[in-house]
Amino acid sequence: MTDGIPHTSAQYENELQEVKDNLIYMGVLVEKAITKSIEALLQRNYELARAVIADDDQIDRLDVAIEDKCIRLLALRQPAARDLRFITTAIKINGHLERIGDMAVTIGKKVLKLNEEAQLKPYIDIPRMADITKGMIRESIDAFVTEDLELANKVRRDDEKVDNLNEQIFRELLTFMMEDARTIHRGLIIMQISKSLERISDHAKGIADMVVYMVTGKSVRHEEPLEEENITKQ
Amino acid sequence: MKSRLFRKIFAAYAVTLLVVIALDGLFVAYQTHQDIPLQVREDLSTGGLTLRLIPLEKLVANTPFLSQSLKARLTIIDAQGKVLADSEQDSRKMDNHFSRPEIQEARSNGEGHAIRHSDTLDIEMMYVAFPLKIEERIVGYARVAKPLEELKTAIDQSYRIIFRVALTIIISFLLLALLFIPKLISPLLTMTDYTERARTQKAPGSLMVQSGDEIGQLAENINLLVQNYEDNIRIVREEKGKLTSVFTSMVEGIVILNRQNRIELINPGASDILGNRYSEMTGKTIIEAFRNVELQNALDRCRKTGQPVFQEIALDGGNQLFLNVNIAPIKDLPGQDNKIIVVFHDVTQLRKLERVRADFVANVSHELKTPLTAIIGFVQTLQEGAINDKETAGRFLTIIAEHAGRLNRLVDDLLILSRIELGEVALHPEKMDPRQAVQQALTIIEDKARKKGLAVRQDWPENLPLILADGDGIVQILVNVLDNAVKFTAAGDITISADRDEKGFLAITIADTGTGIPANEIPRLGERFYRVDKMRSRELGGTGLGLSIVKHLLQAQQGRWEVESSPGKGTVVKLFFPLFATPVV
Repeated sequence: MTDGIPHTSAQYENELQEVKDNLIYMGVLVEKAITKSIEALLQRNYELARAVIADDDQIDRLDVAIEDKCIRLLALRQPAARDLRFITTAIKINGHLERIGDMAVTIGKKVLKLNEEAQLKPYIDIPRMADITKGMIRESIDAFVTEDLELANKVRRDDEKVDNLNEQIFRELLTFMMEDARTIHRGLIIMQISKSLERISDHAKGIADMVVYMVTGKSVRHEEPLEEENITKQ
Repeated sequence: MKSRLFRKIFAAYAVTLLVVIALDGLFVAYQTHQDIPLQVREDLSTGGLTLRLIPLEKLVANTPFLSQSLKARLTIIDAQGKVLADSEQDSRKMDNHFSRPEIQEARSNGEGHAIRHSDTLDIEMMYVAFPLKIEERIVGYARVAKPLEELKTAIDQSYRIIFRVALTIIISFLLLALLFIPKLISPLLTMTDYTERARTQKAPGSLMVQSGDEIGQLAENINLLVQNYEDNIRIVREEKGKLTSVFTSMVEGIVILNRQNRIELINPGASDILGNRYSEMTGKTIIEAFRNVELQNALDRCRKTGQPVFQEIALDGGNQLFLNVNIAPIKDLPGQDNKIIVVFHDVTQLRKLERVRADFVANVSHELKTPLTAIIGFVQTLQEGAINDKETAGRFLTIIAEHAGRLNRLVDDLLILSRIELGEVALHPEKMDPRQAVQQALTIIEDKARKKGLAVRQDWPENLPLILADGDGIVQILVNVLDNAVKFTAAGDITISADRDEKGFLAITIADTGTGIPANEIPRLGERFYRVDKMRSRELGGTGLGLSIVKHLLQAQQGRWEVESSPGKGTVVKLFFPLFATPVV
C-alpha cells in the first residue's frame, strides 16, 4: 500500500487510497469544526456555533461511508498482514474522528449557552489548548498517511500538555467560582468546553496509538508514550 | 565471412545445386545402368545371328575361332541339350544344358536371354541363345555369352565420370558463390551498419550506396526515412522545449493529476506560490497534499461533470494564502486522457488589499462617528436645557471643542495622507543636517515630554554625515515618531542617536523605554487606523494615522524604517535616510 510494494490489482490499490483520502478529508473537516467552535466561543458568534452543530451531519455521513468501505474491503479482498492492519486502523481512526466531530458539536452547544450570559473572562488557555489539539489531529493523520512513528509518538506525548492545560483551567475557574457564586454556571460550561478539548486530544492520541500499531504491529494503547531520546531505540 | 545472410544465401544455393546435381546424376546413372546391358545383348544377338547360317558341324569345329571373332564365349549345344563344343571349357565335362532358361526361351521364341551365374566359369554372365535349324527342325543351339564383369566395369566407368563432372560443378559454384554473394550483400551490411548508427547516434550522416536496383532504392528510402525521422525529432524537441519553458516559467501554478487523481507534475510556479508549505507532493492525492476540503470538493465536481470548475480556496498554515483555482479535464491529447490540470492563481495580495480598503472605510466611518456622536450628544443635552447651567455648559463646550478638534486633526491627517499617496505633496530632498531636523522636531515635542517627566537624550556620533531629505517631510516624520515615543512611555527616557550603514544610509534611531509592541503586530505598523492598543491610543489623542503618514513620507524619499521592540521594555525605531552624496562632476 504505502511501503512501495504495489498490489497486483490496481483497483484494490485505489480502494485503499480512497479510504486514506477519505480519512484525511474527515480529519480536515473535524479540525475545521474545532476551529469554528473556538472562534464562535471567542467572538460570541451564534451563527458559527450553529454552523458547527449543523456541519456535523457531513462528518457523520462520512463516518458511515468510510466504515462501509472498510468492511467491504475486508469482505471482498480478504486482506492480510499490513493491509489488514491498515484497514482495521482506518476503522478505528474513523471512529475517533467521528467522536472528535461530536466534541466540536458539544463545544458549539456550550457556546450557545455561554452567549446567553456576559463573558466571564478573556479566554487565553482555551485557544491555546484548541491550537495544540488541532495540531495533534493534523499530526496524527500525517503520521497515519506517512507511517511516521516519530510523529505519532510526538502526538502521544503532546496529550500531556493538553491535560495540564485542562487542569490549569479547572483550577482557575475554581477560584472564580469560589469568589462569586454567580459565575458558577458559566464556569461549569467553560469547564465542559475545556474537558471536550481534553477528550479531543485523547482521541488524537488514540489515532496516534493506532498508527504505532499499524506500523509496528505492536499495541501501545495502554502504555506511556516513549520519551524523545528513546524513539530511535525502538 | 560471418554474415548470416551470406550463409543463408550460400546454403540455399548449395542445397538447390546439390539436389539438382544429385537428381541429374541419379537419372544418368539409372539410364546407364539400363542402357549398357541392353547394348551388350544387342551386340550378342547381332553377332549370334550370323551363326545360324553356319552348319552345326562347322560351328563345332570352328568354335574357338568364332568365339574370338565375336569377343564372346561360344557354346554349341545339340537338340537334346548336350554340349557339343565350348570356347572356354572342355565340352565333355559340361552337363546337359537343355534346362537352361536361355535355351528354353530360344526353343520357343527363337532367341533367349539370361543373366545368371555360370556354374562352369563361376562368374555372372549374360547369355544369348539361338536355335540352329535345318528345314524348320531344331538340330541344336548356339549360345554366346559375355561376363557381366565387363558390364560392371563399363557402368562404374560412367559413374566415375558423372561424379567427376558433379564435383567440378560444385567446386566451381562454391568459388563463384564466394565471389558473388559478398558483392550482393555488402550494401545490405552497409545499410545495417548505418541504421544501427542512426538508431543510437544523433547525426549519422547519410548513406552512400551506389546501385540502380532495388537495393539502391532501399538505401535511398532509408536515407529519406532517417532524414524524416531526424526532422520529426527536432520538431518534437523544439515543441517540447517551448512547452517546457512555458510550463516552468509561468507565474501561475500548474499541477497535473493522473487518472488516479495523484499528482503527476508540478511546475515551479506552483512551488513558488505554495512555498515550503508542503513537503514532496508528487505521487500524492490532492487531499493528501493540500489538506483542503474545498479543493477536493472542486476536484470531485470536475471529475463528476467533466466540466472545468472554478473555486477560490484559502490555505491555512503560516501565512494564509488565497488562491483562485481552475480545475479542468485534459481533453483530446493522446495518452493524456482522464488527466486533470489544476491551475492556481495567487490572489492573496488582492484579497489583502480588498481587506485593507474595506477596513479603511469601516475605520474612517468609525473614527469620524465617535467624536460626532459625542458632539451631537452634548449639543442635544445643551439644547434640552443644560445651556442654562453655566458650569455644566462650560464643561460640555470644552468636551465638544475637544472632539471637534480631534475630528479636525483626523481630517487633516487623512488629507495629508491622501495627498502624499497621490503624490500631491511635493517633496524636495536636499542636503541637510539631521541634527537640525531633530532640533526642530524636538521644539514641538519637548514640552509634552517635560510634562511626563521624560528625559530626551541625544547621542550624535562625530563626523555626522549630511543626508538627503525634504526639510518639512523629515520634521513631520520625526515629530510623529517622537510623539508616539512620548505617548507610550510612562517613565524613563528617549534616546536619539544616529549611525551610518554600509549601504549609503544614515539611520536615525529613536529608542524609548515604553510599553513596547508585540512582535506579531510590528509588520502591521503603518496600516491606516491600525492601533496596537486600541483603547489607549485613542485616549491619548491619536488619530491612528501618524505612522501611516511616516511610512508614506519615508517611501517618498527613498527612506525606510526598522522597528525592534520587546513588550514592557521599549521600542527602537530606526529611520533610514539616504546619505547626501557629492555629485560627481
